[in-house]
Amino acid sequence: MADQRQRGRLRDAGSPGEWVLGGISLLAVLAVAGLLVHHGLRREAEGPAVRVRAEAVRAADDSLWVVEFVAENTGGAPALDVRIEGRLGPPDRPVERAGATLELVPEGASRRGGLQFRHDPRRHALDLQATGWTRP
Amino acid sequence: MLFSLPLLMTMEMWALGTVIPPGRLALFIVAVIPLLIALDHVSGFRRHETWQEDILDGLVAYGVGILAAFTGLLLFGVLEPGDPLDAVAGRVFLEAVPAGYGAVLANSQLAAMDRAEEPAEEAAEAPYGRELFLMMAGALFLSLQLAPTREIPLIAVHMGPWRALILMFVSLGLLHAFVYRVNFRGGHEPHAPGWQLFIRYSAAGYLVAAVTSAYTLWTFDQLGGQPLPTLVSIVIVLSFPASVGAAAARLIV
Repeated sequence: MADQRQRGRLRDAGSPGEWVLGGISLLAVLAVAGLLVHHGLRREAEGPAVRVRAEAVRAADDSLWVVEFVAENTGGAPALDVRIEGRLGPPDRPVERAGATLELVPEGASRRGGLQFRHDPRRHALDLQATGWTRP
Repeated sequence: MLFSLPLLMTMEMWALGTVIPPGRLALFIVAVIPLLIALDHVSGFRRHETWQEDILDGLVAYGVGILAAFTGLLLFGVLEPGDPLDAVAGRVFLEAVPAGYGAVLANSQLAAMDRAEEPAEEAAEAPYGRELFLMMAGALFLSLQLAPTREIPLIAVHMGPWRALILMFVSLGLLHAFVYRVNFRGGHEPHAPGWQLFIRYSAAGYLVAAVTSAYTLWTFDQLGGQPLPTLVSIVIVLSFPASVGAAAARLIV
């Protein structure tokens, strides 16, 4: 019984390892809190800004071409439901249009997707743009 | 089956079983099998004399998981005759992890019923390492259920940094409330002051829950291409249920 009490008292104080791990954990929590505060202040000042560029064009078969694109959010906040539109041909007489929606493009990050056309994109002027998004 | 059903019926898990990089899946299984063995040792069905029996039980639990996952996926029509073998294996081995985990936990629940007459004092005096291990097991139990879903990153984005900050402290507070309460178990005063318990158990337990969450998220490919603040927020979101799992580990395991 006395031994058990003694063990209990030793354990109450905690070993150095317990304190080191606890200390590291507290520091990690504080560091994350600092990061989130810094990010929160920056995010309020800047909104999303999404740019799109074609990365590759390939023929899936004789009548189907795929344009793989990269959408990059260079703004300071995430964009949801990002609508991507691709157009072949001149703006006043487009040959074909295709669209895709990206669920989420976080700030400072990029997401990939593809647009499918029945005309060869290499034979026409290709225009890609992000036409809209929503904020969380 | 009880523990694996939510994931057997989660669409993201079916897709992940085929697209998860084989190396990552192998690492996950290699990491989980010793965990099943250790968990069986800590909470096992029978009072084992040797580690060999624990190893056997851990492997049997994973085997039961494979059987449960295969049967469940076949029944739900996720697996079809003629599917490529590697896709079937990826799905079954991945789904077998929570199923095997469930098998160990189910055994532990039965064992707890059998040992109901034993005094609670023994559990209250568990060594620190074992305490953290149980927290990790509890955190893994809940994070496994949620890490593959698309909702976790979306919740993190919807919340934004300020709510994520609040959620982190709420998780920490909740974990501490559980730790403090468990220390009160049996009606005696806690052995150490609250702030000491907070640093040694609650803060460390939260770190364990967060690291466990980050690992499961990485395994299920939820962290790729995320900027650091979003990545941190995603881990915080999953760490919330993981903390509850860690705090309640003694009730589950």
